[in-house]
Amino acid sequence: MTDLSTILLRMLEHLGYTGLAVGVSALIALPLGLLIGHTGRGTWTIGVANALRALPSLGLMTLLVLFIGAGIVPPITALVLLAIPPILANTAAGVAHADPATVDAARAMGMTERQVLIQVELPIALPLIVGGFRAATLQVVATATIAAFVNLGGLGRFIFDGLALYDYGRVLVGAALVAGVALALDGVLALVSRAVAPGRHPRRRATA
Amino acid sequence: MSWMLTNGGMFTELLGEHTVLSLLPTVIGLLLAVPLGAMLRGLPRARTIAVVVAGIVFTIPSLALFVVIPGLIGTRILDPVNVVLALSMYSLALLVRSVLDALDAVPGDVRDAARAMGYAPLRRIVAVDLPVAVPVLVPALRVVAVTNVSLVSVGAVIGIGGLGSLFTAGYQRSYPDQIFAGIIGTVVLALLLDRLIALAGWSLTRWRRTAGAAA
Amino acid sequence: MIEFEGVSKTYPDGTTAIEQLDLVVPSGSLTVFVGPSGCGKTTSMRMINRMVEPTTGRILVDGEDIAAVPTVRLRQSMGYVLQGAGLFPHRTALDNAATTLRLTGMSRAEAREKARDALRLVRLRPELDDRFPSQLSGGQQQRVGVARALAADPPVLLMDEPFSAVDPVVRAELQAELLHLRKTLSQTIVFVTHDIDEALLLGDRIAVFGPGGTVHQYAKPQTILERPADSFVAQMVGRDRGFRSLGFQTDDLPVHPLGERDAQGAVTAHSSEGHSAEGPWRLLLDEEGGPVAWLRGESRIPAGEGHVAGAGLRSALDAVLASPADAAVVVDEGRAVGWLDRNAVLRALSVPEDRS
Repeated sequence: MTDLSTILLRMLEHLGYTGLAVGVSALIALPLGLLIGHTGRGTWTIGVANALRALPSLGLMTLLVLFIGAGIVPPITALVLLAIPPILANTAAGVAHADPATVDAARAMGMTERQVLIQVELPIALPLIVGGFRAATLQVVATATIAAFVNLGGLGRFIFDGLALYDYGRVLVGAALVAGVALALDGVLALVSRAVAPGRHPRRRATA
Repeated sequence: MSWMLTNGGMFTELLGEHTVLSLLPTVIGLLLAVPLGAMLRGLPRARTIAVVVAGIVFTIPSLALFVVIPGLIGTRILDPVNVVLALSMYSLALLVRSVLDALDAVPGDVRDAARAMGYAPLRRIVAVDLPVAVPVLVPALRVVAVTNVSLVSVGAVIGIGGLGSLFTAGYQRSYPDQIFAGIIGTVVLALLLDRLIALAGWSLTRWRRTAGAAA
Repeated sequence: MIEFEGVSKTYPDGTTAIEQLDLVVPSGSLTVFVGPSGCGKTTSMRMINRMVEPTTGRILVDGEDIAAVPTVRLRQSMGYVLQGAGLFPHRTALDNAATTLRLTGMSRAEAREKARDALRLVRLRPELDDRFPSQLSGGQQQRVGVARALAADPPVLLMDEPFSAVDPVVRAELQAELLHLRKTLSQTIVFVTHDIDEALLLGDRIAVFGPGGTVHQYAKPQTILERPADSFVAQMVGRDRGFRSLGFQTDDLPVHPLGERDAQGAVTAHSSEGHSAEGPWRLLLDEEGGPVAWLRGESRIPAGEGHVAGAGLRSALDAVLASPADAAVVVDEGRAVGWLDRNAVLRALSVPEDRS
C-alpha cells in the first residue's frame, strides 16, 4: 500500500522534477526576458513563446520518449517548454513597464546600461517576475503528474497505479497530494512576492 | 504525416471531439464568469473568498480532477462530461478573476458619468462596463482557450482526450507518426481558437484605435 | 428652482462634508459653487441628482422633494458634465451625445438626429461626429461632454469642474462658449469650480464654500468682490479685487467718432490739437478697419485689442492705460468704431456708483 516513506519519496521526486524544470526555464527565460524588456527588441520571441503554450505536454513527452528513449529528459523538456512562456512574458513586461522617468533619472545620474538594468529595472520588475514564476510553478507541479505515464516517479505514480488497479483510494491520495504540494508552493511564492513588493519593506526604507 | 493521410477519417473525428471538449468549457466558463464577476464586485467579502477559492481550484492538477469528478457526481469514468466539467471549473476560476480585473479597469469617471446620467445598475454593466472591459478580458480568454486545448489531451490517459488519444496510442505502439499528427492537430486547433478570439476582441474594440489623430 | 434646506452630510468615520446648508438656486440662473478642495462644493452638487444622499435636511427641485423621486428618473432629468468629460470610450462622439436620449427610450435614428443638433450647438465640427473619444482633443471631448448633457434638453444642468482639465487657452474658449450658449438656453445651471476667476466670469450668483462644508457668502459676483463677507472670502478673491470689481460697473461713457482716413490709412482719435511738437497720435487701421498701431512721428506702438462697448469699466480703464494717446479705441467685432476719452474714464472712476 501507500506507506509514509513511499509518499515522501514520490513527493521528493515530484518536487525534484518541478525544481529542475522551473530552474532550467529560468536560466533561459530570465536573461532573455530582461534583454527584451530593456532593449525593446525581439518582442516576437514572446509571441513564439506564447505559441508554445499550445504545445500539448503529453504529446511532446511521448514523442521524445520514442525518439531518444525513456529517462528524465523527455518529461523535463516538456515541463521546461511549459514554464518558459509565463516567466519570459512577465519578465519582459515588468522591465519594459518600469516608469520611463525613473529609468531616465538613472541614466541621467550616470549609470551604465547594465547598472540601469540590474539596479533599477530589475527591482522594479521583481513583483511581476515573481508572478511569472508562480504561474509557471503551478502549471509544472500539476503537469509533472504525467511523468508517471512514461514510467517515471513523482506523485502521478499514485494516480496511474490507482487507475490501473481500479484502486480509487490511491487515485484520490495522489490527487490530494499534488494539490497540497501545489498549494504549499503557491503559498511560499505568494510570501516571496509580498516581500519583493515595493513600499512594503520598512527595514530597507529606513536604512536607505 | 503518413499516418494522417491514411487515417484522415479518424483524425477528423478526433479533431471534432477535441474542439468540442475544449471549446465547450471555455464558453461555459465565460458565461458563468461574467455575471459572477459582476455580482462579486459589489460584495467585497464574497469577492475575497471567491478569489481564494479560484486560486485553490487552479492548484488541483487536471488529471486529478478528471478522475475525482466521477466519484463526486456519479458519472462513469469514461464520460466526457467529466472532462468538460473539470475544464469548465478551471476556465471559471481563471476568468472570474479576469472579469473582476477587467471591471476594475473601467475608468471611475466613465462609471460615474453613466450613473449620473441615470443608467440603472444592470443596464450600466451591460451597456457601459462590459464593452469597456473587453480589452482586458480578451487576453485572458485567449489563454483559457489555448490551455483548454492542451489540457483536453491529458484526458487521453483516462480514455477521453480527443487528439490526445493519438499520444497514448502512438506511445503504446511506438509509432511516432501518430503522436506527431496529434501534436500538429492540437497546436493548429489552439492557434486557430486563439486567433479567432483575438479577432473577435479586435472587432469589439474599434474605439481603442486612434487612427485619425486628435486635432 | 433648487432649494437646499438644512442639508448636512456626515460620513460614518465622523468627517463632516457639509454643515447645515441652506441655499436657493433660482430657476434659469448659473450658480457657481466655488471653494478650495475638500470644502463640500462637489458633494453639495452631487446631492442634487442623488449621487450622494444627505444625512439630514432635504433638497427640493421646483418644489418637489427629490428624495421621493427614483434616482434613475431623477438623473435622467438632469444633465451632468464631469471634469475630464468622462465620455464612454467605446462610443463615438455622436453616440455619446445620444446616450441620455436613448436611455429615455428614443429610437436610435431620432436620438442621433437630436444629438447631432446638440453637437452643433457646442460647435463641434461635423466631421468629428463619428470619432471615438480617444481620437479627440481634450477641448473637443469636453464639448461632446456638454452636448451629451444638453442633448435631452434637461431643465437642470450640473457641471463638475468641467473645464479644469484643459489648457488655459482652450479653457478660455470653452468659457466664452458657455456664456454664449446661455443666451439660447434656459437651463438652471449649477457649476462647481475651485477657480475664483472662473466663478466671477461665469456666475450669476456665487456660493463661496469654506473648509468644513460651510457657505461663507452667497451673492452676486460684484458683491463678492466689493463686499466680501469675511476674511476667508476676501482671501479667496485675492489681489486686485478692487480693480476686478470694476468689471461689473457699467461703462456708459460717450464714444466719440473717428476722423477720416488719411493717405496712410490712419485716423485721428483725439479731442485737442498739438499735444507735442510731433503732433497728435494717429491710429493706423487695416483694410477691414481693425486697429493696428498708434503712430506719431517715428513712433509706432501696437494698438492692442481695444475696448468693447458694454464690457465694463475695468476693460475701459485697461484700454486707456494701455494706449499711448489720451484715448482708447472702441471696437465692435474687431473693427474700430470710435474712441473713449481718457479723462472721461478717470472721471467715471472718481465718482463711484451708488453702492448701497
